[in-house]
Amino acid sequence: MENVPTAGWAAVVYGRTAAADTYWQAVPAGVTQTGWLARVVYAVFDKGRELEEHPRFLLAQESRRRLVGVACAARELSGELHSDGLRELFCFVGWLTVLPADAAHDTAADDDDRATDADKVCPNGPELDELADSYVRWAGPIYADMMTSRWHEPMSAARRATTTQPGPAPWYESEDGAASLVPCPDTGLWPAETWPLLWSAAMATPDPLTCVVGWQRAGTARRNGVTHLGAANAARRAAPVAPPRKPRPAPEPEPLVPGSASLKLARADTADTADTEFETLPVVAAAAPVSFRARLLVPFTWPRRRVGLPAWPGLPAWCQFPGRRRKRPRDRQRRY
Amino acid sequence: MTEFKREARFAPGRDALPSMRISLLGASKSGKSCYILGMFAALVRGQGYHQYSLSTVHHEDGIAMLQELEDLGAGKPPLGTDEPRTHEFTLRGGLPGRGQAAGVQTGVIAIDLTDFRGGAIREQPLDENDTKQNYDQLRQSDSIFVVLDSGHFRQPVTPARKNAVIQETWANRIGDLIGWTIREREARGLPAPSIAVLLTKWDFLNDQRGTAARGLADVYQDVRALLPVAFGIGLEQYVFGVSIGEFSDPEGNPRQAHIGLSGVENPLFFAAGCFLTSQTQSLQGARGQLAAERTAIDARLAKLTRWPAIIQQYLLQRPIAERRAELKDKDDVIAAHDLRAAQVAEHEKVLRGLAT
Repeated sequence: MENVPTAGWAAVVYGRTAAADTYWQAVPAGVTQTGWLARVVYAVFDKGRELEEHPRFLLAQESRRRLVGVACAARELSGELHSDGLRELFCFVGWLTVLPADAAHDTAADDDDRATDADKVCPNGPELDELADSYVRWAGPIYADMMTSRWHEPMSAARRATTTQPGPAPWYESEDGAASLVPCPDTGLWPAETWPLLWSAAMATPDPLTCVVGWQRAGTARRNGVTHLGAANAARRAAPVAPPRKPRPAPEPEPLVPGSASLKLARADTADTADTEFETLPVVAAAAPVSFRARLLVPFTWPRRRVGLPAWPGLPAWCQFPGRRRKRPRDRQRRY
Repeated sequence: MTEFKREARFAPGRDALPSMRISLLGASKSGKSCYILGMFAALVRGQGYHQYSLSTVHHEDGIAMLQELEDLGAGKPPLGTDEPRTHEFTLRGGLPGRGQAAGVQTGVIAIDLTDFRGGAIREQPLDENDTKQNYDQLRQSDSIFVVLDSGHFRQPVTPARKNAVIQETWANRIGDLIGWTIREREARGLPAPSIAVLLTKWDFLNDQRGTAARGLADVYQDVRALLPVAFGIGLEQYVFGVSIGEFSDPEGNPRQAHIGLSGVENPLFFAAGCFLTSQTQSLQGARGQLAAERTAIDARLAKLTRWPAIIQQYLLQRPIAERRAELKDKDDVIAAHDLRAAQVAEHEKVLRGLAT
């Protein structure tokens, strides 16, 4: 069983504006502001406590839904839209994906054990270091786009959150799927040095979880609604088993945003990360080399990932080639 | 130590205590969340001769609240309320009396205090947002705390200023919600909620004493003109001036200051007293039912004991013994009930006295 590419990622923006005491600003189509989405966003946001200095990152998933995002000070994302006049504001910007039900069944059908449970499918997402380095570049435009028009809009009964549609992810998504699945890491507190592997392991598990990393003190961290809590000063423990990471292309240089925290991150991005990438990779067991016999058998196996292979018209979904679904046309709707 | 053990054995847990819900209504930045912090800090140490105290169900919640209050004193502005939040408190207190149980602290009321996000009262309750959840909790509220910023009452609310003050305090929305709650509760056969009007940042008015000081009596008239629905006939209401310290200047900018709690516990005492009044009434109703059941058992026993002694001795001995045992059990229940009713009445009297 493998991770599968997703249908797209829709933006979630949570944070109050200067003029109105309301927080949900952008919600994906078909998702309500209550229930699972609210629980996991509350879990990472926690009224904005202790977000002045350190952002927090969320990876939450339940049946076929995954939410990845960052809670941070609004001034990190915008030099203008960050205060209500008296106090600094905080926000959460995330990306939600919903795995199509037919994709889940296609993937499950490849399994030997015939685990047809749709939950046993795992969508993609960014690695933690990728997200931590690039969240300003990824979330900043979304925050500004959603907030600019609403920032001075007064409170009214007719006010609604903007509905967002799925679009391509801002991070690199490999065409051949992500690493193989691993068991869900143990719940509880995780110290800072284990966060990257914890995140990778959480990304590679299909089980429902809510992973929040970025708290500095375990004593004041919010535990309500969180299964995996990353607190910097938590007691030491062995890092969880994570799948090997696939190499990713070097990120594009980040445009400098005056008066924002992106200045610090921009320096890290402009360095040649290709040379240092292997130093930052998690230490994992290397995959065994492919045997000569296995190579001979390759032509006799079912073709797996053929990017760009056309769909066969008139045939049901289970007759089509397995592989990445074609992306939606870019000119349809707003994509985040 | 013996007393503690005895009391602990007979003291009811939080689930067994009468449960009261309070909802806070007020405009954005009127000081709702800060008031809760101050109220908890004032009551966590115990108040008054009877040592009424407040504790959180989860200890870490209490620690977090006290930390937030200290942060306020350090000049850190309060964080906004985003999610519907219910604080679970237990009000404890001791009553004077004789014997080993005298003065021992016991749970009096389980209090659920709901802090509304300010903007929620201006939103339409829909299935897709949290406002509907707030409305559900408001409907269950035994008491409503209306939080108004004292800054609006530095000058008298003249007809010329009235519309501006109504707009700034969201008085129309608050009045509408109070009326809606009363109607909803009436439809369910529940008593109307008591209403405590809290004038937060009261110290700003007192600071101006000597130049433009306004007493509570003056402001009371203004509040009454602003929210007539809260002063309807048959409703219990009271106006309180409360302050937790000058953590912001008159313009609202945060600043470093000492914590100065003043009057913050009184609204809770008032709400608890009003709630115990309704409890007393329901206890009286239950007492009447218990008495009727006892009378019925007594009548059945009287029927049995009308027979000659020899028949009672040889044929009716068992049913008579059963009726007598039932009667004894019922007497015990009634005695416990009377004791509970007496305690509730005593707490009600004391709490109302403390509030006013």
